[in-house]
Amino acid sequence: MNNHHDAVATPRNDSFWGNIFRKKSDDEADVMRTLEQVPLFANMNDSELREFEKLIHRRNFKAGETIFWEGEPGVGMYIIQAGEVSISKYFPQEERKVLAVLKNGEFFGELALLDESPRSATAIAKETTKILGLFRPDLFSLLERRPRLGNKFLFQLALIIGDRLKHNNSEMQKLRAQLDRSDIIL
Amino acid sequence: MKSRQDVFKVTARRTQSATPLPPVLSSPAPLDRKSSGEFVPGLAMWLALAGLLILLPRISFALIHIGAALALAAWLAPLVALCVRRKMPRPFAIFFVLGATAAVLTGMLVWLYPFLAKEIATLAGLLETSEPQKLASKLSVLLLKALPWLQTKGVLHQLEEEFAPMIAAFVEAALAFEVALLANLISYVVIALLVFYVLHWGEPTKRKIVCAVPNRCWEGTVLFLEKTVARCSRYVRVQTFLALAASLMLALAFHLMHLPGILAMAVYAALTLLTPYWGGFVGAIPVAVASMNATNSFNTAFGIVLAIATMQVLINVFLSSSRFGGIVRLHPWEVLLALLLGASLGGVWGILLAGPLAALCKIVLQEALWVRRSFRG
Repeated sequence: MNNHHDAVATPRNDSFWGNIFRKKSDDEADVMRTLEQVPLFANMNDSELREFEKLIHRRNFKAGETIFWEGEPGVGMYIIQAGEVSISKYFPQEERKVLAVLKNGEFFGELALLDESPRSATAIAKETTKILGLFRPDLFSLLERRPRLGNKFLFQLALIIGDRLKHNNSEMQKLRAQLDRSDIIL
Repeated sequence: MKSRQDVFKVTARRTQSATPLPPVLSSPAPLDRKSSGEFVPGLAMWLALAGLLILLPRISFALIHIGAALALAAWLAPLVALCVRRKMPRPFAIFFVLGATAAVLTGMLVWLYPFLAKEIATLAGLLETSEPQKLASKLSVLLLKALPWLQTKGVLHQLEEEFAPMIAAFVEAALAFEVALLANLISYVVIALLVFYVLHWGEPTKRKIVCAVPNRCWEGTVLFLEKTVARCSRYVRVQTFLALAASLMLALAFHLMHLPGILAMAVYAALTLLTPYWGGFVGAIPVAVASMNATNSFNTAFGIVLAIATMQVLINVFLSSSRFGGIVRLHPWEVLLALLLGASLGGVWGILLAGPLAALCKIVLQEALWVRRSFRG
């Protein structure tokens, strides 16, 4: 039955109307399940997750629709609830390069939770995609309202960013070593 | 720790210098919206202001209540947030803050009642006894005695034709304001309910608006709403604080000069001072003329002008300080045009509200244009 409904173009399947008319109870359970998978919400109990669930914005994107463009001010992070998102970057000398393809439960744009600096890449939905958005204003309001929970989230975010920094540093060291071994003069 | 508004201010400043957006996948032409120039924002601001002011007399009753509720909500929101931080449930926090505010205001009204009643009687007496022609000739005699070089036909004509009705309108407006302040209990209840709605359902309403916009405008709408609400709330808080402080200081100054109707005059003058550049002139003239009529003394009128001018300078210095600077900058011509529009469409209330309304319109349009320039949607 559900499959049949999915196949027919009902208002709920359309990304615009689907964003307005949505069953709340189904959504809440789905969002909670998705949040549980995300490392940023690790070590959080149900009531804490529910607090974040209230802040989350839901969106449906059609295949090929852009979630955000490189260079736009960052507003918040996104979690993929269903579907695929390609992250690509524009290089002046080359074509647009796809950096990664993200799937269910993965997240992107988390640096925008810290400041409004421009997005470093473009995110485009590869297929019909359900996205959960957590925006910086909502995070700040949570920090004011429930500082302990807000700090817990920020600590997790710092850990993830720190891990990425370590990874990038080691990658850079490897590249530098390769460069030193080769005879390329910059 | 930085407040939420400070964080927004810093981040907003950073993105002002955002790099130009790179080309899109399918359409390689880069987006350049900065070429539209500064003419469109100015024109849009004036069109919006004109539209608002044309509608103002028709929906003034609703607008006064909604405006008062929004201003009060902007003031009370930080107090509610403080209570919520102290683990108080939000609806209870709103009830508590509203109740405390109502108690303080009622206490003040009860305490001030004998004084207000006396002032209303004085103003009513002034209104009944003032006959425009007699008043004008009395003023011209006083003014020409003090300033003989003004003895020209033009000045006399100006005094007789324009000053007297202006004073009558001012006194009438002041009286109506004070009577409404004391008597309109239903308005208080309506405003309290509106404040509760804004404080309790403000955030969900914002979320519903964000939900309703198409995907391409999603992020821009979030930022627009957040920044506009934050800046407008801050503007209202600062301006109300300044108006209250200026009212108290002017009331004290007028009391020392033994003027009648000091509260009405002080509130009127303080509200006009919120309009930058020209507010002082607008506030000083009717108050000085009214006081000259009441006290028969040119020196008193001069003292009033001096007090109002000092207050305007103090407010300007306060607003240009690093903490409150950059809230909104209006060009003198924009303020003048807003005043003319306000005066022609809304009379005394139009003059009082023109400056703040123009500033709020400018904030909304500045943020809307920033979003339009920064986002592709």
